[in-house]
Amino acid sequence: MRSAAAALVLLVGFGLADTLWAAEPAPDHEAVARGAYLIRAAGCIACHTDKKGGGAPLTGGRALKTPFGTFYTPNLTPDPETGIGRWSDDDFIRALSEGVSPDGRHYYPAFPYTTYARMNRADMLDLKAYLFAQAPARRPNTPHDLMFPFSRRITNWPWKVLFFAPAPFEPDPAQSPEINRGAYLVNALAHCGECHTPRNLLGAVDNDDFLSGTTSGPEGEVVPNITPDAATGIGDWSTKDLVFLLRTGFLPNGNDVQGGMREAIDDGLKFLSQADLEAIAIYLKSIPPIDHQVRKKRTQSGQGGATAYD
Amino acid sequence: MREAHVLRQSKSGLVGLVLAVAMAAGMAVGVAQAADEAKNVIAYRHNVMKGITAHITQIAMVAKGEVSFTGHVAANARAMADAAKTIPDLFPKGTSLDEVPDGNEAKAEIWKDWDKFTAAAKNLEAQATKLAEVAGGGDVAAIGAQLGEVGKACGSCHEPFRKMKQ
Repeated sequence: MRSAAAALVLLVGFGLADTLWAAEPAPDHEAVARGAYLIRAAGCIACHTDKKGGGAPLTGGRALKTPFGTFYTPNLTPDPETGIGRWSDDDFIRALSEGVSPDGRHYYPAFPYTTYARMNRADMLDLKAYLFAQAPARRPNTPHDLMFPFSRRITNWPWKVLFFAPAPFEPDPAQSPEINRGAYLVNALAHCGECHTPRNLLGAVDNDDFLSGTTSGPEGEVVPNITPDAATGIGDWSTKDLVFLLRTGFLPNGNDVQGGMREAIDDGLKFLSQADLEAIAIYLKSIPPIDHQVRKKRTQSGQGGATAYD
Repeated sequence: MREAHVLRQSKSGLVGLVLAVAMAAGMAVGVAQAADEAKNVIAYRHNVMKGITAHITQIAMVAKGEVSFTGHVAANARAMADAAKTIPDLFPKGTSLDEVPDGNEAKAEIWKDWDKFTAAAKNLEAQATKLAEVAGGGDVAAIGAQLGEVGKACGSCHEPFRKMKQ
């Protein structure tokens, strides 16, 4: 089976790709187009592209520094050997909704399957359709560089038992369709909480402090409180301010965001529709405010954040 | 005797004049030294950055639909482009945060990678100039999108070269 697959790869390598793939069912262009939007909404590109190392989009290899060591993101292109080219629909859904690889290994929660598990199955398959419509790129995955005991993948299993309760997103009938759309975008796709919610000692997000910010975010960044608390969060931001930030990277005081948020905007959020950005903003303004001072000193109006000249 | 006295007086007057001239010259030299002193340049460049931020905030208010002064966007964008041209002047050697740590965010990398730094300033100028052109069309959504490119230009310089406040 493996050698047959290898032979297939060789044939493809010798330029028979077109004839071989002509036998495959034609790609569903609408699914690919929906997937192209979802890949922005789900923020896949920023982490699965090694921009600093000049890597091609979605070929992985980007280093993610965490308190547990450095993770290297995998290749998401449909290369059969080094990417996800051999994955079935079920494999893909299982990876996103259960955090399990096709060969049964448990993923580390650096991969936000904890968020993606809430995604609709239809959206997952659209994402897969988009990924499989990309050119396969050969780039073997870089092994993670983690501290013991986290270096042992087996630790992911008890972690899941403790901290992972997979459940698809359920709209709240008491809320408006717009707030529910925002909740879906934030909690099933854009995975805001993976950076903006503090984590416990074992790296699980603590949803009692949902989106209230942390001083130990990815790459050691200080991540602001984005609950609508007036003093320490975004209580004094308008929904327009939020949409504008997500579109341009500018805070209400005219300073520009950097680090992870800059990546999240440039590779994903700024491509979302006006309606979706407004839904995110309205949802964020609707969640419970949490008084949590992340920055040493709050500065002027509208700045929960990071920058100088204030 | 009287004449001699007058002479003596005028002599001391002359000495006084010479002294006064010398003092004035000394002060002038003092002023010349104070100009471009590191802390002054740092204060000045913070003001230039604050100025750019003010232009951005004004354009942002138009883009958000908070004010209808779409016709002002181009002038604000051109002012940013002009300010961008001055950026290389604002970072003379001796003004890194290693040399002047107080109230300074300019990393030493600026001078290690001067070409990249000046290219980033050029890029801000280009993106702001483009924003002025886009603004001519009066399309608020297009203004917002191009302002996003300006933001990216800010970030592409701040990210490597400015120490982030924690």
